[in-house]
Amino acid sequence: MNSKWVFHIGYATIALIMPGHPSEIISLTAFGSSSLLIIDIFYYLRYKISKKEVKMAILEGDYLKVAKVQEDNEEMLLAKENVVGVGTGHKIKDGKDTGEPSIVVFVSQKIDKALIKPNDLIPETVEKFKTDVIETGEIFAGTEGIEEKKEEEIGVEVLRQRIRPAKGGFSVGHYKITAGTIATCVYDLYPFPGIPPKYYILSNNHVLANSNDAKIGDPILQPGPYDGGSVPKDIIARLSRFVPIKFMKPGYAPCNYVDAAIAEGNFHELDREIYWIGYVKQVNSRPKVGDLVEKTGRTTNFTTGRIIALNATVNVNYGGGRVARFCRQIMTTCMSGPGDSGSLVCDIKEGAVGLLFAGSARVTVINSILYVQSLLHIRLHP
Amino acid sequence: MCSHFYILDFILSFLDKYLSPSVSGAILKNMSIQEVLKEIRYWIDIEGVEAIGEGENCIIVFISAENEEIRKKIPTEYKGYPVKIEVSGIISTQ
Repeated sequence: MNSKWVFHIGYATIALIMPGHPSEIISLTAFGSSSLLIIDIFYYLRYKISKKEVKMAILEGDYLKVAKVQEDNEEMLLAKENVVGVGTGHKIKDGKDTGEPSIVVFVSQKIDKALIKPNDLIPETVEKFKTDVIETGEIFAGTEGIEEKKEEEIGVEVLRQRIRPAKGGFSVGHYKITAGTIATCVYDLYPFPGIPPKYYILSNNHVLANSNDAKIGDPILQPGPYDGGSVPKDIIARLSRFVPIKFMKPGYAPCNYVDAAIAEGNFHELDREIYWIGYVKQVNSRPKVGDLVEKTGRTTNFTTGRIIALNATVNVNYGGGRVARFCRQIMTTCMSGPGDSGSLVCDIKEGAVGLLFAGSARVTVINSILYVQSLLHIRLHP
Repeated sequence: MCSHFYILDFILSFLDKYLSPSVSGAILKNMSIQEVLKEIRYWIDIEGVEAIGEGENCIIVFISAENEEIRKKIPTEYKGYPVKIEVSGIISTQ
C-alpha cells in the first residue's frame, strides 16, 4: 500500500472542498451533515462516482477499515467546534510518522484541553483506531492568505462571545445562518430631531435576513448560531427590514447597491460602540482612493486597509451558483475574512465609510454608507 | 456643420497616431471618469472580470486570475484614462 495515497485521501476531504464558496466552508465546520453532502456532490460531479467508491478503489487492508470507521464517525467529528476536516492517515508522534493507520482530525487551532467543552474534545480513539489531531487553520476557497489568516485568528474568541449590551464588531446572525458581524446600532431616520420609535442592529442581508430567505420578525441571535447562539436564549433582536438582493439570471443583471438589513432590539441591550474603534463620530460621504480605513469583525478582529477603488461594479458569489451584481461599491485591500460580513468600515477619524459584505484573498468590498442609510431609512450619527 | 466633425475627427486621429497616449489622452479626457465607467460597465461581462472601478485617475479592472486572453481584450487606456488590471481572485460574500 502506497502511503502517499492514504495521505491523499486524508487530505481529500479538505482539499477538494477548497474550491467551494466560503459560506459553504463555514457550513462545513458548522454542520457535519451538510458538509458531507457538499463532499458527496463534489465527488459525484468530479468523478461521476460516490466518495465511498473512490475510497474503496484506493484503500485496502487496515486503511480500508480506518476509512470505514472514519466515514461512520465523520459527521460526529465534524460537528465538534474547531474541527475543519477529517481524513485517514498515519499517527504522528513527537513529529515522527509511526506508520500506524489512524483517523486524522484537522482543527483550526490546537487549544488546551482544559479550555474545550467536554463534548468538543477529540476522543483519543474511535472504534479502536487512534486519532491524530493536526492544526490547519481555517480553510478558505483558494490557498492565498491562509497564513495571514492563521495569525489573525489569535484571540478570536472575544468577538464570538455573548455580550449584553451587544456591540459593533461582535458575532451575530439570523437563526438559520452561520455567523456574521454587528456593524453598529442605529435608529430610524425620522423623526429627527425627536424620539426614535425603534432601535436596531445593523448588518448585512445575508447575515440578518439569510440572503432574502427570511421573514420579518425572525429571531436574530448574538452570538450567531456558528458561535453557539441558540433560540430562545440568545435572541437579541427580530428582523425588521432588509433590502432584497436581486440575483443575476441569464440576460438579467440588475444593479444592487447594498447587502443590508436591520433587526429591532431592546434599547437597553444595544450599544452602538464598536469594539476597538469606539463611537462613530461622523458619516464620511466622500471617501477617496488611498484613504486608510479600519474595521472590527468577528473573524479577523481589528484590521486596517486602504481604499483602492470607488464606484466599482462587482459580481459577488453567494454560494449555490447565485451571483449578484453590485454597483457603486468601495473596494479596499484585503482586510476581512468569512464571518466579518456586516462590519462597519470607518476612516481613521471614526467616520463611517461603509458596510463590509464581500471579499477575496486580495480585496474587500464595501457598500457605501450613504446608500445603506438611505435604503434602510436609518441614521448612524448623531 | 458636418465638415467640422470630419476635421475634428481627423485632428484627433492624427494626435492619436503621432503623439504619445498621455498627450492625446489629455485632449480626449472630455468625459468624467464616472461617465467612462458607465460606458464600460459591460466589461464586467467578460469572463474572468470580477469588478471594475475608479482608481486614482485611472480605471481599475479586477480579474479572478492572471489571464493573457483577458489582458488582450482590455485596452491599456480608454478615453484618456489609463486602465490598470489587478488580480483580485473570485469575490464572495463573507
